[in-house]
Amino acid sequence: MITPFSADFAILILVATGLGFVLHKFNQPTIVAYLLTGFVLGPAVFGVVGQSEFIALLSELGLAFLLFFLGIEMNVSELDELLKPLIRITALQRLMQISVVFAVVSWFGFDFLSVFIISVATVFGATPVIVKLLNDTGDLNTLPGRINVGVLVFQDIYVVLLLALLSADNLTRVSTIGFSVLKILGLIGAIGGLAYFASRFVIPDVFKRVSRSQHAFFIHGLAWAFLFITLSELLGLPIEIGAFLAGLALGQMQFQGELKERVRPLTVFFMVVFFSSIGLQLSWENLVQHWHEALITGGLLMVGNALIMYYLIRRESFSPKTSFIAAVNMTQASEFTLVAGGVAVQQGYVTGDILGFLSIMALVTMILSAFIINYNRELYDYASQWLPPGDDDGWVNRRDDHTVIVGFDDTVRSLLSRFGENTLIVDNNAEHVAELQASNTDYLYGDFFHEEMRGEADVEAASLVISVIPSMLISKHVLRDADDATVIVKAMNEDEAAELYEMGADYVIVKEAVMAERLGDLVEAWQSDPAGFNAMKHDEQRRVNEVAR
Amino acid sequence: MTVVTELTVIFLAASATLYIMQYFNHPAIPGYVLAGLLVAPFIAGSALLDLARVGILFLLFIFGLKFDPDELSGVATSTILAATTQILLTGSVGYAVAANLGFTGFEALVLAVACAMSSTLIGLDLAEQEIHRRLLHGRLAESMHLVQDMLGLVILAVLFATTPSESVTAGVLTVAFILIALGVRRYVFPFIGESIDYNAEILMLIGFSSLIISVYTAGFFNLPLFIGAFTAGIAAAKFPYNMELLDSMGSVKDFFAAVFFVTLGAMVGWPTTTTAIIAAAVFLVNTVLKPYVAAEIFKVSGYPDRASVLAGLSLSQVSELALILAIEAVTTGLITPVLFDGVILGGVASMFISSYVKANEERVYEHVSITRHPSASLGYTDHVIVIGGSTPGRHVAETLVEHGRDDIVLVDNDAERLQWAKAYDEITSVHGDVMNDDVRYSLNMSEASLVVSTALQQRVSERVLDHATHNTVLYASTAEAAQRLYEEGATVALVPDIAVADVLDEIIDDADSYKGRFKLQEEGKALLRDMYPELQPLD
Repeated sequence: MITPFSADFAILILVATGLGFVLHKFNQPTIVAYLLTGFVLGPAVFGVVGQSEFIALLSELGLAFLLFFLGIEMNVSELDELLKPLIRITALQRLMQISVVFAVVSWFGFDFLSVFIISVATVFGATPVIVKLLNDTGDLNTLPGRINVGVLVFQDIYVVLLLALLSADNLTRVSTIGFSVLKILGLIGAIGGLAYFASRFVIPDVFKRVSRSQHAFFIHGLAWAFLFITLSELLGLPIEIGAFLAGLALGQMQFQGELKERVRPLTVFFMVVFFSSIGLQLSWENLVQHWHEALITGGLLMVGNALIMYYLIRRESFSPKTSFIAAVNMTQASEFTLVAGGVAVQQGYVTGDILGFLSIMALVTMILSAFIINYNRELYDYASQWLPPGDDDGWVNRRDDHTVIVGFDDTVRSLLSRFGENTLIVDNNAEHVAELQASNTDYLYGDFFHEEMRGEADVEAASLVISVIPSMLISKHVLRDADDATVIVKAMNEDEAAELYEMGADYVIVKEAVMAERLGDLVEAWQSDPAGFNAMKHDEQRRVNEVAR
Repeated sequence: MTVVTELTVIFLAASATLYIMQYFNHPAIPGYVLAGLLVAPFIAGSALLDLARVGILFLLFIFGLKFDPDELSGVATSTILAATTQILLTGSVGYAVAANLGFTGFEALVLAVACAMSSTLIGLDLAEQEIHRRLLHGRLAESMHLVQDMLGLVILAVLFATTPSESVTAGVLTVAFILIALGVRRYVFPFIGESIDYNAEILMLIGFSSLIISVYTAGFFNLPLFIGAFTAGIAAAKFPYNMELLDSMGSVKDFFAAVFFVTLGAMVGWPTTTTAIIAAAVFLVNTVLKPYVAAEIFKVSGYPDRASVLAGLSLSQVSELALILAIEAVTTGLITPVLFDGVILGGVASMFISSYVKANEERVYEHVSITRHPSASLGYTDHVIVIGGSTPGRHVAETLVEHGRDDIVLVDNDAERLQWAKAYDEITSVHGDVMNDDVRYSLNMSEASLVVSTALQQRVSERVLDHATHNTVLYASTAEAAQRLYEEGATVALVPDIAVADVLDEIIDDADSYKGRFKLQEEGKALLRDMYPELQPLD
């Protein structure tokens, strides 16, 4: 029977789910599951699934959406401070790494052109892997995270140039090369300029008027992203660049948090396909030939690149801890290495076995690095005995002993005066943004449903958590994540309240019950104590006037 | 033109129409279809159609996820009868119209279906507010929709089978699918959900996997694929997993909804006279006849007037199932493009009107309700009126009785919430809607010495102020709303959120110490025990 999606896709998803389930049970990063899925199902092992058009489309969209998400997340003003250090780090890293690869690979006896291609195509630092893993733990916003993302972005520019040059037909003259480079930089600049222009003059007005519903936001955001994606396509640039710039333009808006949350699940879905499809492109014969060399190179590069990065970041006066973690996060070959290798094969610069070499290196380093990133803090703790002591560079967006308030309504508004800077309010209503940004509490725009948001809020370290969102799901998450904190949650009705008490809530707000009690007090006074009733009456009205805006 | 470019066109069009729709407070979906009409010349690819059809499956999966059979308790048995009757009645009218226009057999049935069933996607979205607040007409509308969805699935499965014997098999299999899905939902899914500890990513993958498996199984048995999609959704519709899934898949759903509905619009051809007639017929049956029939059925089953009419009004649009039926039928050549165009256009028109109606439902109700003789006034004076018989109203009434009051009138439009009052001679119960003029007349509100409104709706509070002359204690949704009520003469306007804040203010100070936290729990539980005597003992 005909289904609109191919059997290949179906099998891919089913196997990815199964492996993902298993890995999650063992508390390991799910990315590994997806990479393995593609590898196992693809021509390299069982050969059950091929790279169908549908899968290719989805993975391309996946990468685009991921970069869109990344663009939104990036705060340009923050990046500003890091701009010069990042450029220096990336530029020097490229040079140093190419040299190291060159030195290592020359030993294996490949011909000069192959060694050259391998050296320039090997890029360490895979955006999807790093972003996904850091996202899952809420670490994307920490200083090492921002350094990683910054380096990745500049590396992407390098990659784009490289790909364009590799695909160019006439590489013999220096002038042609120079011309291509200029053209690409120019195009990127043009799109960037367009995005910047729009973000300053067009978008704020438009989006302010459409800020009413989540769905609307999302669709408008998507339209914007697709516009830039098509623009890139027309200009011959990889669509990820367009998507990234589109995201960057939107990231300056007030409501970027909202949009980010809506885009995030989309990326999760497409990313599964993307990671799986990496493995689908590997073929057995190509893999078999140089796997020793690939593994050795991969291993050496993981260590070598980490050392290079540590040195370069440290050189910019970041603390040892920041440098270590940022360095250790980038110990995997990028998927662009595979893309570049593929293009090189197509153009006839190298043969398929070289692509196999790159593929094994990429796959293995991606898998290993997933574990490394997951345990990067523990690794630092272990390594710190050999590193110079240093503080945290104030990258502790890590909060401690604070109050977390989930949701924002009149209740929170009434209590706002008793909370100060050590309080974080997490809310996902666009209409509250201005008010909350102006208040003197800390504020995060986001949906507490999402694990990443709870990670960012550092719920485990809080001393008091109050949730005014009457959702069982959120309350359960809060109860589970908050270890020592006093937890006050809200329930829709008495049955839910009883359940929440059983789960360990310290107090459960049942609006109906509170209202009933207050009404009871009021009518009792009205009936039996007119003077008292008068006093209560005035009290209530005074409270209302205090809270009203 | 690549798929990516086509997607760009779709989203740009969707974005533009969405902007316009939101400005006029219309739902997005009919806007998307219109967008499709406009961009039809630019999109053509078959890859896009594939994506759209994946979209259908996905959307149906989401519908299924929202399904909650537990919510049906209390309105169930009469509803099944009501839903079936309504489908048969309006369906027959549709069939008659089709026959008159010269259509027969399958095509006439398609038109009948387009007239008979109501939209879940739109209907529920609009009613979500009310369901959440457990209002009567919201519950009525929801249960009606859900029953119709089940029946709709079976009907569609039967329609798509090519021979009568296959129809029977299809019908039986569909029922089997539904039952299996319900079983999985109750027994299997919670187990899976617990073992992955709510992780959103894995949950999403499991959702997709079950969708895929279900769709393939449906295809294996030669059932239309969307049956598999819908039942897969039902299988996962166990709270709280479905909330988590809905949340993470929400954006994916929006993505596919835009793609599907714009593509749908793009498939509509240039309207002919026949198209216009069909569209008009579909529109009229859906917007006028169906709500009327539904409201009458509800009234006959004993529900109060207002709830019946409001519930009927929320049924006034064409079901997505009908649109999907139309698209599947036209792509397999079972109906002519003219019929397809008519159904889509009529459906879109009905979707537009329904949102407008919903926003102005009160006024519509007033236009259509027939004023009967005012019921005799109860003749009380200086009494106390308590609006709302759930916990707050009950507590208020009981407190008043404790303090010697014996002239309390309790009013609620849900008979169940008046049951407890039977134990009290001091309380007279009135089963009716306080928004209704007749009811207010019989309550003699202007003579009451105190009116307490515990109804969680601002407009009830406002209505009370129109008539009460003495003391009023009313509900206000926000501080600003309370200020307005005070301006209009309320004695006390209570904002529950502020009351909650006052409670929290007192207890937060205790939150620091261990002893204090224990005290918090005790206080909280004590309040619950007071207010909800029937609650299981809290230890």
